[in-house]
Amino acid sequence: MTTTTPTDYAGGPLSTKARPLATRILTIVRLLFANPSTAIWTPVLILTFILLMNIAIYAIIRANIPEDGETANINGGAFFIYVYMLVVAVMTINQAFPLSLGYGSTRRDFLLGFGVFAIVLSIGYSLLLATATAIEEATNGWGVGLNFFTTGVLWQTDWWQAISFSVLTFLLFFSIGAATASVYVRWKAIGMYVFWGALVLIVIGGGALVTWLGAWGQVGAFFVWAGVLGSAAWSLIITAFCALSAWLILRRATPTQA
Amino acid sequence: MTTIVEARGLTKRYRGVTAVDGVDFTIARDTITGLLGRNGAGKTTLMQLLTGQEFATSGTISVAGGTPVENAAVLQHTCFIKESQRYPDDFKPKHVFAAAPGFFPHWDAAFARELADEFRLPVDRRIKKLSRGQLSSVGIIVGLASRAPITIFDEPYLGLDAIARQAFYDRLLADYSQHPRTVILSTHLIDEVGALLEHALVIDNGRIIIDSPVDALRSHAATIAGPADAVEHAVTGLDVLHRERLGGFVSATVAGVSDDSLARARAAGLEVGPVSLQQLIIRQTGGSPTEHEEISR
Repeated sequence: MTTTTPTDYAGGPLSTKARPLATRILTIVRLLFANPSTAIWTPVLILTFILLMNIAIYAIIRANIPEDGETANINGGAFFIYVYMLVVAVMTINQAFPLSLGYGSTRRDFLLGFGVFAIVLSIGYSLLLATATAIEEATNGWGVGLNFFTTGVLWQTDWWQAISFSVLTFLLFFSIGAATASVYVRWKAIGMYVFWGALVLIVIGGGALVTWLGAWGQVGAFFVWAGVLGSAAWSLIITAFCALSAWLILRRATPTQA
Repeated sequence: MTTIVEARGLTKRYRGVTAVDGVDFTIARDTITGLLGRNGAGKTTLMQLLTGQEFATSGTISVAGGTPVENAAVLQHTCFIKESQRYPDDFKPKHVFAAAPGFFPHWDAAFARELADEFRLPVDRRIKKLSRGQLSSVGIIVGLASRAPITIFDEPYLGLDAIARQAFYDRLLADYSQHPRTVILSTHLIDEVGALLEHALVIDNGRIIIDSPVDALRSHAATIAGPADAVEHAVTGLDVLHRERLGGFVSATVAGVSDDSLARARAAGLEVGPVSLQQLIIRQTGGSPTEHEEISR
């Protein structure tokens, strides 16, 4: 037989006190990071691959077009990683929620753990992107004048502003993913139809309303007024709304099979 | 004996379907209880109510002294292994085993490794690529190695062959005797687990129809076989669950028998035999045997 460490509850009453919240949240974070391939290795690998392809292609173009041809090129290839994190959020919640509940976690602890997971990844990727941008600028665009990470005005502000902007954007994508996944976990396919249908109505309806009011100028003026970081800060409203929705939806959700 | 689970008037209704219908029962601490019943009888719903995954329509359920719904103090003692548990797509069994100690303070990693060897589980293969039986063994290993004070298995053996199932029963019993805990096991394979169970809860159509220690169930039931007249005479006044006729011979399954009546039947030259738990439950739920003998889907 195996080790015979007596379990400490043997005979005695079971504890009626929950373990500390931090321990419970850390348990979830550990589960979500147990296999870092989806959330870390795969996207970093894809990013590296796209970057190398871009450098190669750009080198070919630069060899044929004079340097002073166009200067303000923005590639934005790194943007995919934000969208990728939305997908990570959807997959993580959909797949880890039933497992966590089976292993004795509460819905609340699971979502808090997911929140920590999202914040850690947001900060980590933002630092990674900032570092890559610094290298890009220092090497004059990887030696070929490529603006892969330098997305124009965003990174020309202070570095801390740029990082904050990135973190806020990541959090926005994570929260949208979390809310979407929650709808799926709770209401499955029917929930998805209603959710996407409603979203399309809201977006098109909103666009129609702004057009009808002739207010696109004001919308543009808002973003100019708020500035880059300000706009990102305003996105916190959406982030908070999505996070709260995810919580309200998940707390009455029952994990079902398949 | 301490009570660890107590349900009062527990009801769960889905649109138009009453999955669990006002059940009252208790489960004693540190026992192995079998939750038996046909497909769709309400076993899984009951287990989900027990672990706070499902919300009761009415009635109450208390586990380890509190409601399980969103109650970390209660849920930290539970481990619920489902028939077809979902795992994150990119996970390998080793990732599951690495994350498990956080959920289960009594987790025994050496035991988990030993079980993985015994079940020949490739711990470094992606879970998506595992066979049905290997997938089941991931759940069984977690359930056993968790040593959770309240461990619940919902038909955990799908796709496992007879040898692996026997290994599971043997391991469960051996580990249970060393580390007593409350085990609730739902299954169709009643005779396979018959020796394991101390208490049987039989659920049918959302209602608990048998709630009894297994020994008592067995000792109060018997088959009496012999010439029809003699058998009919012997079973007069007894609760006859079932009769089988073959020519002039009758084999009757009776419940609520006393040692006296069996001794009299023996003296009359009749054959008195035991009734398997499965037979007994089939007779009492009035189903046909084939419907109970589904092993895998």
